[in-house]
Amino acid sequence: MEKLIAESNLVISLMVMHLIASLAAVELRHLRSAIVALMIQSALLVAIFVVLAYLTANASLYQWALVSAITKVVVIPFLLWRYSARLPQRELRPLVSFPVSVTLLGIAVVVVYRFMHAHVDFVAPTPEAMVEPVRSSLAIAFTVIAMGLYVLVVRRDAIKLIVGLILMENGVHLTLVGLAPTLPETTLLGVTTNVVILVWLVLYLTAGVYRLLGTTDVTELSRLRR
Amino acid sequence: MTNDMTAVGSLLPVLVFVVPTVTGLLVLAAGRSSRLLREPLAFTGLAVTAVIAMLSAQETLAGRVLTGWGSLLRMDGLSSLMVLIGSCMAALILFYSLRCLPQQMSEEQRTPAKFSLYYGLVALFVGMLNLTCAANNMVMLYISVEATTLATALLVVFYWRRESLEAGYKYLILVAVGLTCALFGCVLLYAAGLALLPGREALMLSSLGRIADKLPTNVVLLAAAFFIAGFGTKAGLMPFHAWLPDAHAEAPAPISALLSGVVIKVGAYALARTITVLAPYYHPIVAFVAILASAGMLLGILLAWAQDDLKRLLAYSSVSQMGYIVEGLGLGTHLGLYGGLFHVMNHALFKALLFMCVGAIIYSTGGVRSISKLGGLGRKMPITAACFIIGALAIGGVPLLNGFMSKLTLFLAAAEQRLLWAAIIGMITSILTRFPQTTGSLS
Repeated sequence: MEKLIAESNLVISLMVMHLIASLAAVELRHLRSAIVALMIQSALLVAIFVVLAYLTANASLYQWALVSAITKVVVIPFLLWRYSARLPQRELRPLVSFPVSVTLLGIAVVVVYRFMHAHVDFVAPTPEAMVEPVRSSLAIAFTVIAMGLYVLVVRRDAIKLIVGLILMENGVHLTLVGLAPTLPETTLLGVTTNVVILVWLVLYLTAGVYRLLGTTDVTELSRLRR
Repeated sequence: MTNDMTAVGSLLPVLVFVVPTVTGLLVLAAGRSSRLLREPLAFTGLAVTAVIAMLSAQETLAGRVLTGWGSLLRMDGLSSLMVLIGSCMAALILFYSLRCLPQQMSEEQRTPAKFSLYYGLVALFVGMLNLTCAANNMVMLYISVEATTLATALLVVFYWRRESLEAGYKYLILVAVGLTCALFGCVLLYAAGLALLPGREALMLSSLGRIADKLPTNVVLLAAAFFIAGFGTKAGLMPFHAWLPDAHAEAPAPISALLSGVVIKVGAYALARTITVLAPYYHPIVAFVAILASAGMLLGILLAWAQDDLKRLLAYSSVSQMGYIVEGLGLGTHLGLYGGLFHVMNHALFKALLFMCVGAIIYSTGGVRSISKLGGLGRKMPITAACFIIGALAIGGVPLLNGFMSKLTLFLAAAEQRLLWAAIIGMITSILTRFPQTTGSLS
């Protein structure tokens, strides 16, 4: 724990980079650029896991890092990249315009981060969660989850929705590592396998919808039903 | 809850999910090469699973708790009940699919690959369902609930039409987002439990149950909210039900029966496992669940009234019926749990019956689902109509039928907890439920 507190600046800088990559993944309108941003976001997540594993001498975190590196940095971006080749490259116009979206998201990020940083004890009343850098990590993890939810609410492009879903998952995994870093290997594999299959299935259906309807607009889906 | 029972190591909790999972994988891998490796193999696998489920039910009825793989798997009475309902219903539904399924498929869709996908995924789903019921580890519970969603998603879009693709997409995204919330709830509860329990013990639902009253109230309430939103989405609990009517309506008829009879019960089971551990010590959870559940039952049935599509009508009535189940489970009392679980079984029976009747109607009319176009059906299909009326009366809670007993228990349980308003809403809903279903069948 002392080592972790001593190196808290390193962890927090990685976290901030992770947050910036998340913002890029949300706001980039060119889909393949957003996919690359998502890949960088995941790679930074893996880096955070490795640093935490080294500083806390926790071997099971290395396993987390390895499995996340394979699934989140290689497999999922590869799937997204491959499927997006058959789809339009530019994101469909979101429900809010670019400047409004960036402003909204900026405000939301600051508010959520400040609030969670001040009230970490509300969700995790343990002494470990109160010290830096765990405290900031948790606040950033919650902010990333909130960003994922934001994407799911205001975006219409199916690929962007998947990006939002992955951001949420990454945020939850980061909280899991921050709060409870000793998950058994079976559950670890299960959690990550699920995400990969989920992303693949959603992409498969999106490609199917695009072939049949010629659109990846999810608001269109609910309109056509009525 | 089950501290006084004796835990015995057993192979049954392992077999009950390994047999259908392996069957499913075999059918998926080899089903296209030979017909024998499709329907017969899948059916045999599920029949064997049903037998294993009966054996484990016999064991748990004798007061034993079965554990497997250390304490990773744990089956008590609740698990056995769900495993039994799920395995038997899935075997029956598979049998029903033999004739019903191909009729709605287009000529070029009737390929061996497509059929092996169907039968393989149904068996795989049963494997994941049984894993959900046998899991004692909280995160494992989340993983297997999510896996049941993944296994059924391709079944919902099986006909690969525009509507079914939309329904399947909605199903996947909404349930995945919901379940991510549930995972978050697991993480919060785990972290809180770590302060009181050694290491991995804090992941075990059976251990958390013992210390539930010592956990910090904030965290418990927050985790409960995430569980209700997450597993409630899977269970089709209002207001998280948006995926349910589309998926039920656009899936093949046997899959609609499976969705309503078994798949949404997975969410109810996960809620029962997580919420009932917490609810006895935290009264706000009981009140919150009762409000959501009551609103769900009433609005669900009102929306059902507005439907002309027979399958959508039944889907909205499922939303309403899940309200009853979740209310019983959320009460956390003996009577509430008893009523809720009794209603799980009853709803699985009569809703699957109703969906299968609709499947038969679609089969013989060539795809007509609109109630207004189905006049005089009683004369043309007397047996189907009779079965439908029995199912409709049971769901409406008419005395002498199973729905009456479970609903009565639920009303008593709500009244016992001084939630008289919830009992009254339940009764009003029950009276309303009689009309749309019965008119639907008699028209």
